Amino acid sequence: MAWASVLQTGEDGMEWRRPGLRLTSVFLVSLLFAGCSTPVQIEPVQLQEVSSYRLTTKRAGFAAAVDPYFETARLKTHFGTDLLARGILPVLVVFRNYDAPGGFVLLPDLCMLVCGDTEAHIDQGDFLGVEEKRKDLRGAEVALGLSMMLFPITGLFTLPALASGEDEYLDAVEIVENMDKLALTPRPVYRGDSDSGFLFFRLENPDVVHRITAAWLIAENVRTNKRVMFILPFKPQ
Amino acid sequence: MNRKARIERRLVWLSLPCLLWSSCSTTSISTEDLDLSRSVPAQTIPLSVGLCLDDSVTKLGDVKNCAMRAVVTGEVVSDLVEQASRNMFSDVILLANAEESQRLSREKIDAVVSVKLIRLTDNCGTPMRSSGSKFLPLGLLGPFLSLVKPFHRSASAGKVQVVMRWNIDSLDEKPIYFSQVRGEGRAWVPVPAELSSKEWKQAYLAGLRDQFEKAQKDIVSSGWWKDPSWRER
Repeated sequence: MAWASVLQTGEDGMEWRRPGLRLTSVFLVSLLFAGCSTPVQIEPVQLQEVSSYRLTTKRAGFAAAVDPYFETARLKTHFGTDLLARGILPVLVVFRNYDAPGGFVLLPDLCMLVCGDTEAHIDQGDFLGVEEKRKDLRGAEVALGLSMMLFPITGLFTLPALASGEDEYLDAVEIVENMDKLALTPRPVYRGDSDSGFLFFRLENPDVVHRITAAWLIAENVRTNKRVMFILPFKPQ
Repeated sequence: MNRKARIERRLVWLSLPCLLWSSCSTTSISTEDLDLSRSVPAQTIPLSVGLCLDDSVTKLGDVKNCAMRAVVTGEVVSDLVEQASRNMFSDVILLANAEESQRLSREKIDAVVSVKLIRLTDNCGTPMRSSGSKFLPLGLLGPFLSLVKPFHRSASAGKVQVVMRWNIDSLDEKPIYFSQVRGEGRAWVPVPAELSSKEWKQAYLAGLRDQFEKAQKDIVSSGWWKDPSWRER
């Protein structure tokens, strides 16, 4: 009834008589799009035996392997986003103690990538600015609450933007939580055991990947502090 | 409006806060809710250990979230750590502090297990993924707007994270084994999440169970206790 009353037939067919209706229609259409976003899809990483990786080495009763995730497709499948474009290179590390006495633990802070004359080290910061996104979202919600009270129509128009901001935040949370789950949590590896996980290296820029020549991994005996170093040269594919 | 109707209306208004209060104050997790005796690892480590709980566990107090005044208490977490330790080792002696291990004779314990709580959090009060159709961002306005049918979201994805660090040290205070174990619990929490204490309790139970089961599996399956090297001085 209300809808019918505002739609009047003019000389050139249907005519929008009330400007409010046009605004409402724009709002409804944008709302539909805002509700249609698909959450980020992340698939688990399948681990292999240490010797089956391309970049692997054996030393002093240990075997170590690295698998750098350079490919955009692999990054999107297992991390939900192209981390390399954000300057983060995930490197899967697999470490196995075949025959060395004592417990050895990988030291992530000392592991690095040699990139020509520079080095890349691990980064455990807020990779995707989740905290900042959360603060922005909270601020936007407060602003929305106020504008809904003071200027309800204007407030309604900010809802789709807020919905997309919320989706962006939720995606970032999911990606960061997944990275947290996949990250290497160092633990002593005794004879017959292995440890694996991702190290996230911060690169100055994505082009640095072409200059990576080797990965250095360092493990330490938890009781004697004796260290073992593994150098894994990056071979061209 | 007659007098009877006025009284009825007043009663309805008075009952609302009581209803909200009761939904926020359901019972917190007790040790009986999470019986770890049903998740005993296949093998027991044939060692006698002293168990030392960090202040992060013993002085935890009441863990609250936006829906519950006390989801879990430090006392319950301490009990669960002790249960899990008894599942893993053939004998467990509770130590008041790390120094006490020095006083105990070598015949009594072989090593000291210490447990630290790193994280026990949930996403209550933050934006959450929705299970059903979502038309509006309902973070701050959620509890109000979700009462209106067209804006209704069926449920939100509640998540709980439990992270603990398990250290096993020799009597000469050198590390033998350590591991940071992360447990996760999920539950679909009906909107508004702030009033759904039952579901949050389930999420916390799942998170705690996941952490303790993973810790047991991790510590027992690692070969540290079969390697005699850590007994050497």
